[in-house]
Amino acid sequence: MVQNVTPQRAHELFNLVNSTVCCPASAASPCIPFLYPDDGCWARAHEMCRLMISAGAEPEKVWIYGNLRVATSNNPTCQVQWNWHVAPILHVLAGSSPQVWVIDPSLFQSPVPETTWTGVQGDPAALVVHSDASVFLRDRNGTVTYDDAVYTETKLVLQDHRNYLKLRSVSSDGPPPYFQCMIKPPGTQWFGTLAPNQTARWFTWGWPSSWHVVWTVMPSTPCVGGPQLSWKVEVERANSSQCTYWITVKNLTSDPVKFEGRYDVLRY
Amino acid sequence: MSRTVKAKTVVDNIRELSSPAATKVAPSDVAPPKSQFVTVQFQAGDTGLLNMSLPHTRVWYEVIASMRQSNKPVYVEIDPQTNVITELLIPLRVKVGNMVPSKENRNDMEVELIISHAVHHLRHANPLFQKLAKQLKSAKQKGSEVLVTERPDNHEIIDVRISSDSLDSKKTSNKSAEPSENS
Repeated sequence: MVQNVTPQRAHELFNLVNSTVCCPASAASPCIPFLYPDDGCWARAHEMCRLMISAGAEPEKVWIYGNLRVATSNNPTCQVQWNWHVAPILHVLAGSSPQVWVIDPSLFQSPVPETTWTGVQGDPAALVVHSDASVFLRDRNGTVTYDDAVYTETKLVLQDHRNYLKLRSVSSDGPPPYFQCMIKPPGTQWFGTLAPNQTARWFTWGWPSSWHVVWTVMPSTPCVGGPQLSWKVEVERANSSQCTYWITVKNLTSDPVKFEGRYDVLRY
Repeated sequence: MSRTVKAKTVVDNIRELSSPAATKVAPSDVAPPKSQFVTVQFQAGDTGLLNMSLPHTRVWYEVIASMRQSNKPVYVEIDPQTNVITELLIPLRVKVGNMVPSKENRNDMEVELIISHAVHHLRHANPLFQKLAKQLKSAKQKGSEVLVTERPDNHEIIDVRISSDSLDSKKTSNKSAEPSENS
């Protein structure tokens, strides 16, 4: 008998697994390296299932095989290419009939319908197969491998991929996300990067002095555990009608951090 | 006339890793002064230095310590003049699956590695293309495990070695640690 959950419960379970996301440059066990989408999905999916099962849920898995090519801001080339991919699924009572939703924080910021998940994989002819959660690996031909009960192999694979994420994060590419893959959202003046414990100052000019402008910064690099950034805003009256804002941002952590420099105009 | 010395590459397990405080100067006169070095000793006898004054090296140290703990190999490039490690990557221990011409460039190859769900690329522009392709095809035919190292951003294969599970580890490492030079 399939367990159906509410949409709210699906979101709770998504948040449960997503809260274990690794800090990119200091990824420590038992975090899940969602920010290294390139490889290791079978271990991420198995660990997510373990967490959800511990929380009383009954997830299954969805496997997809094909020439997969997925856009992502968490790879410096702005995409990942896969031969296959796997993620946990839940049966969700949304509307009149149950739907299959996929829990995949390496691709999405919330649970999504299976059709949405398969739709971003770049291969309309891809083969999609469901399995129960205990299947650790499944090849295109249907041969399955079961992990041991204590998730030994899962832990080893996750450790390897934490290390891949760490090495990439301290390479010249820096930690994810990669700005070249992102469209600047409204209200974002600039994307910035700070090295560990670095303080840097940016300035932005030509703002009407009659406007009431508020500046904030928001880390783009996830890292749970404490504040990552602080900032200070200074202003210079450049002429009778315009001003320049000087924004000093401090990285409070020993990891590199990327961030959005944001503004809002409270009064024109 | 300039002379370019290629980095020495080593793919090996780590025998010993000195603590950051234990080695305060490099054993070579040509090493950069006033920096703190950690010595990495590999199973086959090679050594390399981690320059801890560089911003990325704390993470490299952590990764090397992690790989030593799990008794897994790393790929390093070592400056033959200073003995400083200039690149650190983690090889995949895999079997080789399908090898097909790339859809973007028919001279390149897409390589399936097992277990990995990523698509891995062997670029024809790589001077070692023929050698790497031969090694991969041989491993595919034999069904043997290999250690495959690739560029971290685009999964371009740059090194293939026989896995130490297939051969005696010391023998494999010696074989793989020959320095080379370009004039």
